[in-house]
Amino acid sequence: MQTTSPLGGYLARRAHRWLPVLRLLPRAGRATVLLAVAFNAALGLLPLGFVYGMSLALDRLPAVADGAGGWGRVTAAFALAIGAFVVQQVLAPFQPALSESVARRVDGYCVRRLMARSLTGAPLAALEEQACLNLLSDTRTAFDRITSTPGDAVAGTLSLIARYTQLLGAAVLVAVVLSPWAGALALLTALVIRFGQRGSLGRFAALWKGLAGARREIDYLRGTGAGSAAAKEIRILGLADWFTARHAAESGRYLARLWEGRRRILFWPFVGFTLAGLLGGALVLRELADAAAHGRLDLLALAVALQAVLIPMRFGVYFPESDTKTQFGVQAYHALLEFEQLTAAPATADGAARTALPDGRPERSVRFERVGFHYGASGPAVLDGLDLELEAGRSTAIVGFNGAGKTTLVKVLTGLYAPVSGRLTVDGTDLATVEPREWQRRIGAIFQDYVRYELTARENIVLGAPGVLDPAASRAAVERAVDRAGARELVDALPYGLDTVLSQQYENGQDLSGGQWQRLALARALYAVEAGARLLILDEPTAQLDVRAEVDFFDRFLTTTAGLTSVIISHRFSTVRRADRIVVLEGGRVAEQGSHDELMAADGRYAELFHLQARRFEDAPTDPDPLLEVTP
Amino acid sequence: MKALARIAVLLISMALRGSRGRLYGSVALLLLGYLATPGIALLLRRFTDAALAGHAGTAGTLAFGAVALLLAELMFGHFAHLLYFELGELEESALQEELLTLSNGTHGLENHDSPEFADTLVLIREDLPKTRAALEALLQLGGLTLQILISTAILATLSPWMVLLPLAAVPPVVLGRRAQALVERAKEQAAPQIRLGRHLLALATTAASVKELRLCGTETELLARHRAAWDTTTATLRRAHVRAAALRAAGQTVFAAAYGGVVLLILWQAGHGRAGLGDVVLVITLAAQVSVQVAGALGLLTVLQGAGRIAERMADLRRWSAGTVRPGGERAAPESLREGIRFENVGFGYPGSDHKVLDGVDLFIPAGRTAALVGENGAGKSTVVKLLCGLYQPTEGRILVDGVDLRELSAEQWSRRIAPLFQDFARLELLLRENVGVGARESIGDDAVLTAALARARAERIVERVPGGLDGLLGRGYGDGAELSGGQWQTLGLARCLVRRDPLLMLLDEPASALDAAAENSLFERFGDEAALAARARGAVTLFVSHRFSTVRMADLIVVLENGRVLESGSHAELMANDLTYRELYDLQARAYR
Repeated sequence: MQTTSPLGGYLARRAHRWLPVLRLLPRAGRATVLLAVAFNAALGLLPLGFVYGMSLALDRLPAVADGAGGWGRVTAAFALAIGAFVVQQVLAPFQPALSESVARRVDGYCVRRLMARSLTGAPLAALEEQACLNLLSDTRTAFDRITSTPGDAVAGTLSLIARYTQLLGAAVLVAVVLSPWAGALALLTALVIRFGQRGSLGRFAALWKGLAGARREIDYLRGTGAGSAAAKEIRILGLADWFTARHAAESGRYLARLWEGRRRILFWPFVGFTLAGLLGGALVLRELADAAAHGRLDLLALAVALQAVLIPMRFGVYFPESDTKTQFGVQAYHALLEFEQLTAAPATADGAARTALPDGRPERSVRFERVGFHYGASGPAVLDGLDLELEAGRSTAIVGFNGAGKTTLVKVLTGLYAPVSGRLTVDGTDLATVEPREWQRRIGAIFQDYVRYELTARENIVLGAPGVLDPAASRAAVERAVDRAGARELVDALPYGLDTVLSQQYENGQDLSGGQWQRLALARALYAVEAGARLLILDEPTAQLDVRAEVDFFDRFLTTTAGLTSVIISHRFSTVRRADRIVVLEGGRVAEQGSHDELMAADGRYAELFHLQARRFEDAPTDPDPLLEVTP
Repeated sequence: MKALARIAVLLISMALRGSRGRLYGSVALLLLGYLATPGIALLLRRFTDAALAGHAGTAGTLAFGAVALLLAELMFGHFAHLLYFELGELEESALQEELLTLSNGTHGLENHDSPEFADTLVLIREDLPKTRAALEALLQLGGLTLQILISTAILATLSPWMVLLPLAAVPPVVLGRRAQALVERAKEQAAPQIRLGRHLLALATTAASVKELRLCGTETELLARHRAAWDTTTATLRRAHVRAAALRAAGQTVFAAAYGGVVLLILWQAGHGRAGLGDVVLVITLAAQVSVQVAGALGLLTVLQGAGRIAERMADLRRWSAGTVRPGGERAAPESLREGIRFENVGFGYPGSDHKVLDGVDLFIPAGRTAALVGENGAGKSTVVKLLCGLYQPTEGRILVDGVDLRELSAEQWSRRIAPLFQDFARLELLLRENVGVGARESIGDDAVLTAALARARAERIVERVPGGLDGLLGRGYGDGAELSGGQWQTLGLARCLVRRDPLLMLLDEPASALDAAAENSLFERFGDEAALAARARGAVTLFVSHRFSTVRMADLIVVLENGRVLESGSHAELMANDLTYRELYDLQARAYR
């Protein structure tokens, strides 16, 4: 029973494409939409008023020429025509302003929907998938107004009302003064050309999109070959010619495909549209010529028909106020819809009610109990039966190679990812039964890729735990956090202190260096502690600091965090030796743990790596070729 | 106007050299399309007269002619674009390749450090994709100008006053530009809010920042801030758009009035028997279009003026590029080093700047030895490296390779003997074989050479991991290539360095900042093996830049730079005995291991 006619299928596809966009219409506001509809209808009807007025003037002219008088009647008709013309000319410039208004409202709604989904609804793992990244990039590009937005699509659709009102009105005029079938034929001819052309352009857009990969590759070759980033190597390795040749080959292949497709899609079909237009137009105008020459039309009817028939004949052109806007705006909206589909939160498996967590937790410890985690449905295990206890009030350092699972451990610990197997408990309470926010507000953290807000220094700090403290308490807490993070000097050096915007792209703003940012991020985490966080997590906190600053940071770290439960992640073994406990992570499990002294005594992996580093600082007898002496 | 002439000359001369057929074809089609418009008006005049006179046959023929011209008007521009787009795409491709040569085809690197050059490069890269649009604007402008002239001439036959009509189309254009400026100003005014909105949107839609935002509970705050920025922007823009529309409307009114005058004039003439009804039809169909035509032509002019900078900027780049072509030595690089590399009182400053990046640097790296450069950011480490590579020439003093001034050596020959691994080495998102093979271009197709280099870099496991092996694509910038970790890229960078033939200078520039201790050790070990081989085989010199003192200490010669000068230099033991900056920094790092 699934048989659908080709036309039915076509209509269904169009509807599938357009209906979601039309559903956005109410988001522009009822009054605005009604105004836009009325405005565009008026814009479409005014040219017909001109046609009628001019025709009236023409009709009354022979009487004046014959000396019978009636000049007043001619000017009255002329006034009608030119009045319509002036009003149309005055109104037309407001169309973009109205469109902009519609678009901003609709886009505001869409962009908030996008942000809300990404910020709160979407599973974090989904956000990291390539498909989502592409969709996000597409929608962001649209909302940056680089390509058209969903709001543009809505506004562009409303603008079409003007075009089609005019077309329909003109066809009616032709039908009334000449003959119904001439009116219908004129309309049909216009629509055949218009939709034929739209269809072809749509097919061409698909071809264009299909070549996006090739275009990006060429763009990459151009950017790399002509840019500064690889300038040193291109010179030393003598690669300029090679890049040129590579570009020429790639560009040649791309253009060959593009041209073949463009000629195929945009040549012969357009010859067809031209012939169809020729046929339809010839039939209508022949009818007009016949009727006029044989006296079946009076002068008024001839003038109306002649002017009116030009409107459908000139209809099938590109509409800049609508065509690209709808084409790409609809695409952007579908990207948003698709993103929402991909990130739809999975139905909660347990369905159990989430509870609150009593204040003051963790009092005893946070435990990983046989925690397993992998990315995607069947990725390799990143955490593999991890057992680990983080004791309350003590500092724990987690060290390991790149890829040992350190960053994933942080994501699980912070409740951003749920363990795939095993469980995480806080003083014995399974975190799976706790509302994630409840747990997260007890955590202050700096991630390796902490956020650099283009806001003031103060806001950069307060956003570690916004809305928790009242303004006065917040100001005091910021001051304390700045001091504890060792950021006082840098804050004092800012032109407006804590109220300086931290980006040079804003007036009176100032950029910070990597090391300065890192201190500020530390202040943000410590502010969260001021606001009640009990667990402090630092993920590679000194990656961007120089030698002096790094040493300074760790000297300060233990005093700063005394009494707090803190976790510090590092790949440098030297930096964490004073932590209460050091955990060596390897292959998603704990390889060994203990204090620095215990681990050195155990003479395991930690000791081996520590020695490896330390030996390079020892004053051993000089080797004739020291570079060769390094052990794996 | 000069810019206009330049871009016109550039585009047309490229077209004549590249593809005459496409140029002639598109010009012919465009002319037919543009001339159809006045033709339609002329035919409709005669049609009206014939129909009113009752000449059915003539009217029918004229009607068909008018339909044919209407379709020419509607469609020929489309057919022309099929040709001139191809032409524009060819021209862009050629210009892009020229840009590549201008940017990186010379040996000196000075241009890349000039902000002026860098800005021009960024701008021209934005401009060049507009080449096709510029060609289109140029061709259309020609057609439109002709169209306006002919339309005006036809109107003039009815009354000389009508010649003035195109002038009435100027106020709308002038006011239109002011309206545009108004909107642009509003955009500038709203720019901080727009930027903030984009920034917050980016934060909210990037996984890395979303995790922190969720953890800190910043979601609501962020949404509220975005909404505030969005609404402020909307209000600012709406005001500007409405005022701009009012300005434009005022301009259109001027033209509408003039048009009304022209129509009234022809009506008056017809009423007095000095014009026929056909003339009235002619005027109303032709005159109404003049405003659109003039606005269109001036709009195209703006596009072209914008694109006109393509010609100018290319000319600037050509001039700068020619300026860095070295008079250049002819001497071949030695087969092997006997003595070593010596800096004699070397100074360097950028042209037009008094500041000396390096000042009076003396140092000597004996053949077969290893030197390490140490210093804060901005101390001049990378300048030393660039001078040694011949990417800069010293502004004072000289660099001697076995006693021969580097200026006298052929730059190309000397480059060939350098095996560099830069900190920012190019992660080429191309085929794996290309990534490594570019180290010695003839090896790109040579599996045996590549496999050997990869083996020496211990990159076999990477090759196994990349789908397609040597022919696998790397990176996801544009294709579905294999994603590599920082360490894996670095290993390929090392393989690229190892594929170089017979190096005299091995260069390792801050390679390990992203690596963990074991990976760093391993990298130095592999590099060290090769360096030792090269040192034994032909006295090659190794230079590395690092801020890890455990690595630095192993060099035969350590050079501590500060503010462009050598602060101290010597072996590790000597510098420790000096008890200056080196010792201070060394002890700071070593403390953690005691």
